[in-house]
Amino acid sequence: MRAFAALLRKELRQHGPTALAFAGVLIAWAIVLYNFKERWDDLIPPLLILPMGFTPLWFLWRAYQSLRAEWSGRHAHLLLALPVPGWYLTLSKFLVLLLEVGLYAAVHAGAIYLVAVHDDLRHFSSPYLSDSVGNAFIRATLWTAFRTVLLLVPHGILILAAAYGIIHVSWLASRLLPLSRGRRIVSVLILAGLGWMMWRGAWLLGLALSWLPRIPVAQGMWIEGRSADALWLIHSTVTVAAGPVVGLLLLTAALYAAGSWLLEREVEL
Amino acid sequence: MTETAGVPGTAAALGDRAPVREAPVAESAKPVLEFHDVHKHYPGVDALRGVSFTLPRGVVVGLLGANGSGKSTLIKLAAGMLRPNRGRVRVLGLEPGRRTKARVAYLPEVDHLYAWMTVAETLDFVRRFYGDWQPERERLLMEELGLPERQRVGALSKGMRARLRLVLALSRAADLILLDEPLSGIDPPSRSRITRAILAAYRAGEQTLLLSTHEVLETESLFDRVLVLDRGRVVLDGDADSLRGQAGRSIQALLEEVLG
Repeated sequence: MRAFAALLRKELRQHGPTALAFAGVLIAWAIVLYNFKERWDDLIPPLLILPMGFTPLWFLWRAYQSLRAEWSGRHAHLLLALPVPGWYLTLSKFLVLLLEVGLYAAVHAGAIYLVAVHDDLRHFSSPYLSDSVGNAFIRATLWTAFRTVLLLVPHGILILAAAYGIIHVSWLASRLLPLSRGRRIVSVLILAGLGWMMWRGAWLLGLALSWLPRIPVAQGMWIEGRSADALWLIHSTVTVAAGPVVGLLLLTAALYAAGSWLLEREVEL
Repeated sequence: MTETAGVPGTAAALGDRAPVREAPVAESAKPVLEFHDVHKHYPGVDALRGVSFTLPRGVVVGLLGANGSGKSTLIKLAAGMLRPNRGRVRVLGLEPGRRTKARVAYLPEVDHLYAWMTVAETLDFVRRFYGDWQPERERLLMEELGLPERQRVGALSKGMRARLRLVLALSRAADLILLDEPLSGIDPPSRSRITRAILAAYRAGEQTLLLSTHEVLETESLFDRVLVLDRGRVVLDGDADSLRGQAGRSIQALLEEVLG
């Protein structure tokens, strides 16, 4: 674990400054929106969500770059000479990238709450609900949103892990071909093929694992009642079939094992 | 492996299913590096063509040859960075891989360090991966080579970076040390300093040192054995003193004659 911790620390040091700089930009963006929220009322929600839309693209680009930079900077000679399993290198890079995306997501969530939600909640009033019932409704809404986020996070991590694994293996597989030109194109073609195989594989495994119980992915909530004096908060849980999720998990693990094998046994410098 | 074919009562005579057991060999008696008919091709180039040799423990071997003769390829094969297309490479009896990397110190020809790390951070990063790291040797090498611990690697001169790479390779009690052109592009005063450091750090009798270089004059006093490559083939392999004695001149002069 000492070796893994050293790799993890190296990745954090290497990518931390960029991540903090981007987080700073996002915070600055949120401050701008907060100050102009009265004037840009209708534009605030799309402007708040706009940077979030770039996060997946940013993740894909960073995943590609995190490996490519080791080769272009010739650091692969150092990393591949280390007596560690290949997955140490892959996983340390993925975890740091995950932390980076988590940081952006946290900044986004904070910005959305402060700019678009906080004031509305503070000044919440309803002609149909008493203050105590209204406050209880707000608390229940926030709790539901929090639980949904908690349920969605593992699924999000799995999807990012699969995407990272696909990019990683595509890049390494393209290094196996004796090409002097066009390696990027080959890498993209392998990536597309691998992505399709993962998608179909998860679907097929989902069929094979259809006997597994369904798993929750989100929490829903609504109000029912005939009058202001008789209202019920109804909670429900949105579930999905566990088969494709477990299938994707297994395929992702296989992908990381393949990446580890390629790094240790096949890729040459 | 012991040759047993045709000898009554041996594994070969007993048939395929009979277990073939290697006689126990003391760790120190095992060859440190073995190449058996190793071929390595790159697109359009045969980098190595049937290279065979065995290095025992405790020798300093000069790997010499012109540019493109296959020196770096040979070192990378031993370091586990490349795999042969044909033939067999063994390090301490093992196929190069994770286990051998723990026992091999490899200094590549290229500058592979992170520019954003300081010298101290680089040492700290690398030492965490190797159980054979020698802090005292690291300290002595740092003093001998005059490296500033707090300076960023990116701010070091080419010569200083070469020295740092050497500290990383020589601070370990590795069984096999592979140095690929450690003096390349270094000014003459630094070269002699680096050669002295190699000599000071090397543990005679315990470690095997394979040093690829063009700077034969500066380094030939180090060599116990010389291996000369020409266009992927070993054209000269012998004891350095014997070669000097036979030829009556330096290894440098002999090399010039062999390579034409």
